[in-house]
Amino acid sequence: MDAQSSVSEFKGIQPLEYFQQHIENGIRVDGRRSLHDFRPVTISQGTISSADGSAVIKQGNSVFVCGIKLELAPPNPNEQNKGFIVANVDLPPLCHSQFKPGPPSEQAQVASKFVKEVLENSGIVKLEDLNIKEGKLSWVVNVDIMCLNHDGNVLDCALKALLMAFTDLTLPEVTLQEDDEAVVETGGKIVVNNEKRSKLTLHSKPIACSMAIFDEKILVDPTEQEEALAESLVTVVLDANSGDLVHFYKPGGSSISRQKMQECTGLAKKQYKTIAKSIDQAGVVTKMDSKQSK
Amino acid sequence: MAGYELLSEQNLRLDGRKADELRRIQCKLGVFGQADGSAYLEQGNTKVLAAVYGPHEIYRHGAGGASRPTLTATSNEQAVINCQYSAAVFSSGERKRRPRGDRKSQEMSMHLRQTFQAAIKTELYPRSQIDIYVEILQADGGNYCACVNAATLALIDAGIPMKDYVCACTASLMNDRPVVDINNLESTTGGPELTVAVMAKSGEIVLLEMSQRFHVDHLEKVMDLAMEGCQNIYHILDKEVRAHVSKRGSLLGWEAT
Repeated sequence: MDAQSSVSEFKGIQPLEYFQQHIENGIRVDGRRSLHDFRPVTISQGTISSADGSAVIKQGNSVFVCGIKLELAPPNPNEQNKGFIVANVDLPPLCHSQFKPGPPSEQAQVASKFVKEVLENSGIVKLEDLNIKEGKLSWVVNVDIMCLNHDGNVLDCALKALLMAFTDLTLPEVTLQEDDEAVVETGGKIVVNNEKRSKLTLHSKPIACSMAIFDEKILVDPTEQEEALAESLVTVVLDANSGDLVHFYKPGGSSISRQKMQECTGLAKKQYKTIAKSIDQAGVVTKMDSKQSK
Repeated sequence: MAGYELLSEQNLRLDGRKADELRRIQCKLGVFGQADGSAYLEQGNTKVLAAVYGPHEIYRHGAGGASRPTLTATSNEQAVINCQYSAAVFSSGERKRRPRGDRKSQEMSMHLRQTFQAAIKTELYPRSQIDIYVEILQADGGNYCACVNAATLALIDAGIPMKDYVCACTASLMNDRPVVDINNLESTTGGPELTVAVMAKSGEIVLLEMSQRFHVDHLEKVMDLAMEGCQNIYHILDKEVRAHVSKRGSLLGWEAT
């Protein structure tokens, strides 16, 4: 029996043991050399021409696509100078066998809520910027994130896809021809100039860093298999511009000590700049390897 | 057809194609790891992703937006095919309210299921289910065709036995001349749209649908062109499958024949 087949037999018969031995030796099942390494990230922007802004991100084997569509609507009567952002994360049955056709899975709903909260807390887009004419007309920014292949770390990938799609987004110039009460209702006097488009100012740069805790060890950027075997998951979101903590998320699992939590935050603090830098070089397909850790 | 000259005097179409010219087709097998089989296909500006899961045991619970037959005695004799068509909300000009579950998607799911029910050797997998999921990332006409072509590739990638390649193509009639593989602009401003799915080698028709009316005398030539389009698509798909298999095979140390 050669070495190759005995390894695959070991993996098949004792999956947990196989996994544990990797972690004990400080390496990962997918070939990463450190527990704190990221998978390589490739990003491409503007791939979907029917969307106003779009991005595809591939992190290891996880693939996410984000498309932004714009719509016009009268603003909310209580907030006459604001626009709207509607974010949604979809995990269709296509991306993994664990998802079945039907209404959105719990995981998808949780991810949608997470993205929505990060959007609000980070202040990445000022809702005032989405107003065209006070009390009359505003932009509705529909952000739809979809998973095409699910191999773990949904939150990090979703947020990266969102950020890249926002960077790609351009708003067409809109002019209201007459200051008329009926303008918005009729829609006849709104002129949309698709030739003249401008970028949206982004006020922050939220970067998520997810970790899985397994046997008191922290695994950065877990795969789907690692997530399934881990005791608990932690996601820390930091703003790469200011260094502020935007979001902290630990959905149950086994409890962790305060120290462990600080260790996680520390790790995220060490990594987020590298991630942010790799994202900056997007457009041209970039590859990222975190050489910082260890 | 106000403002648009769908077929110019030189017999060129709006996007510069000749009447009998397909849009550029690019495809790739085995794009993702999670699915048992997957494929990505671009037909002009229509981009579609297909994933196949199975054969696996039959799921009992209901499914919204997916087209599946009710479990009957026949599921003991042949595989149940479950199809879901979904179009990303940002795939078309207007934002869609929901990616799946609306009538158009339901109809599309049903057509896909009926198509592949005919093509897959379902009798080989009694008491099992095969899932076919297709996702339109960008829509520019001929969505059904792109889905069928991509799903065929995904099924081949999954290694599910089929009677034949299923290829689909559209055709239309402009100024009494048949044109093949129409895009979104041509289908919304132009005349009739004939969609045909065929078993490529035997030339048998699996699905045929036509909208709008034209004189029955024209049917023959429109059909001929659509069938020819299917044959051309078959050659493109077959080439890609062969290239994919020889690439995979060479990694495993097979001899290229």
